[in-house]
Amino acid sequence: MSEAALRDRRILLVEDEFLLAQNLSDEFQAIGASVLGPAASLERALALIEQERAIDVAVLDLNLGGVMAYPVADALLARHIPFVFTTGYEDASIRPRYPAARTCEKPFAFSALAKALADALAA
Amino acid sequence: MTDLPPFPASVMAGLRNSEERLRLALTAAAMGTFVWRIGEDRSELDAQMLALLGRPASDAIVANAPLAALIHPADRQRFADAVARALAAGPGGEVREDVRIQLAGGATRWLAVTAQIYFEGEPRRAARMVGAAADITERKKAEAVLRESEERARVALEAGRMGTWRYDLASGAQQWDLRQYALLGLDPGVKPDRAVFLSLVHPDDLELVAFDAAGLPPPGSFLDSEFRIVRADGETRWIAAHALARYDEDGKPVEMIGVNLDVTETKRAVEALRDSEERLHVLVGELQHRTRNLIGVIRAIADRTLRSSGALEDFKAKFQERLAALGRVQGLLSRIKDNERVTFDELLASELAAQTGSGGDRGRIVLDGPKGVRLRTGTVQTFAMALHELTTNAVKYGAFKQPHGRLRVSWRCELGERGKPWLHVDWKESGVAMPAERAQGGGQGRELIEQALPYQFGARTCFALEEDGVHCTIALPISESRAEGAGHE
Repeated sequence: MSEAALRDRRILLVEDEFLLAQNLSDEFQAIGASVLGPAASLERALALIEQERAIDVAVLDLNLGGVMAYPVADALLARHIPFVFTTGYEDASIRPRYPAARTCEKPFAFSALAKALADALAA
Repeated sequence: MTDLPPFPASVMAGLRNSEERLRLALTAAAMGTFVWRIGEDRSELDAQMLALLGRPASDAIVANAPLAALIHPADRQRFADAVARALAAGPGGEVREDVRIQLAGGATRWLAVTAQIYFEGEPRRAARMVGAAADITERKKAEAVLRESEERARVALEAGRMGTWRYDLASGAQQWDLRQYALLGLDPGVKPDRAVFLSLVHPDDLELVAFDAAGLPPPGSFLDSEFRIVRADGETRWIAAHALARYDEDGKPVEMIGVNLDVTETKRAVEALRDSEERLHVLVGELQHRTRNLIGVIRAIADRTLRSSGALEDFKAKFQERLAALGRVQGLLSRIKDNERVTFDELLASELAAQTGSGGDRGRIVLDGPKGVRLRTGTVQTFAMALHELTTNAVKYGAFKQPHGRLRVSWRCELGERGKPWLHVDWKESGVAMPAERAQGGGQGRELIEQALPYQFGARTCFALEEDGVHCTIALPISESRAEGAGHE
């Protein structure tokens, strides 16, 4: 059960749309995970990665208010933190940059995101 | 002939001989002869001449007028002038004219007429004109065909703005026509030279125009290339070149000949099309992003509405209103083009109009602020939902619900941190008797204003239930772009 794999995990949530971020936070809390953030911008996300000592896994919205979230992805890779991109569209630039990246296409069911996160943690 | 003295028989025989030879030559060349007796208003025509004119044997002796009438009206005066010039020239005067003859049935025949004037007597006067005529109709037709084809080629080269050139492979000598000079932006006084041409070619395209003996196109096929030139005036033009090589009988290449044409406009059109395609691609991606996010937003709104609703009927009414508000803002967003932005006044007007209609509520509203404040496109949806919740609350509980309720919305633009433009909105309801406790209303609106706007856009907001109504202030960053054609704000 992927949701069990996320229990007590510290999940960094990067998502610029408030309502989506709130919904995901609620869902994560409901399965016993703790949410770091959410962060709506590159700056906030990078600051959280800097500050937080333990981040188990991250959810990263590819498009943050029109800005690509690549610097956040790079910071996560540098710290060996697994993550899942959530995207509103198939962006051809993801594959060449992040060949191993997991993605969850919007709109997604929470269970699909939870499974992708559990897979990322297990990898 | 009667006035001539008799010739000896040998002379006569020689003359007959030579006349026979002449007759033979004239027959072989299909030429007719004529003599015009100038003083006597008559001409004598031989059988070949009669055949050329399409006249019967009875016309072998004919007066001037009917003979002249056979000449095509368009050529008649020219021929008469030529004869007059020959007469005026005195001894040795000659006529060489091509004229059309009108044949019976409307056909025409071209004759090349050569004639000479003979003078006699004392004082000398023009006695006769002796001439020959040949049928040159076929030659004239061929000339016309050639002229037409040359004309067509010229028009084609002209219309296509094509320059032509020739390059002698042995000597390196070149020839350019005037359009080639124009194409290259050169004065026709410049000596055509490969080095001059190469000096105009864009450095990055030099290898596109290079060719060597091994790379010459085989007989019958073109060497095609497209390259840029930079003219002396600095203008860059795109040139398309089509050239072929000509070979001698031994298969040795002798020369290159080719046409160049200016394809700059086509290139630009293609580039513009590619740009517009790229923009469209970006737009489609953006739309997809927006649509997919929107579904998540709707799901979140449904969740929240469900949580705050007592009964299913209650949920239905609230959810439909919120969907309608989302729909309105999508409508506003879908209408804007490249450099356009949704403006604050139209967003506000759209929301107020949807909920208060054009009825009596309008009298309770005061709007005070500049038109045309351009919002950041990314902020429009959430901002619109916040305005929707404020308006809904005013309709259900506040300024539009109570008899003395009033709403004043004032706004202004200011430069904020790092010189970025911000919009400050002040939403002030008055004359509202505030209920001691508001069981509902304001929940989602408050959350959007107090949390969503600051979270998503770094907005600074305040939502207060004051003594006589809601007072809400929102400050958020707006678009830094300017409307096309707009001056300083």
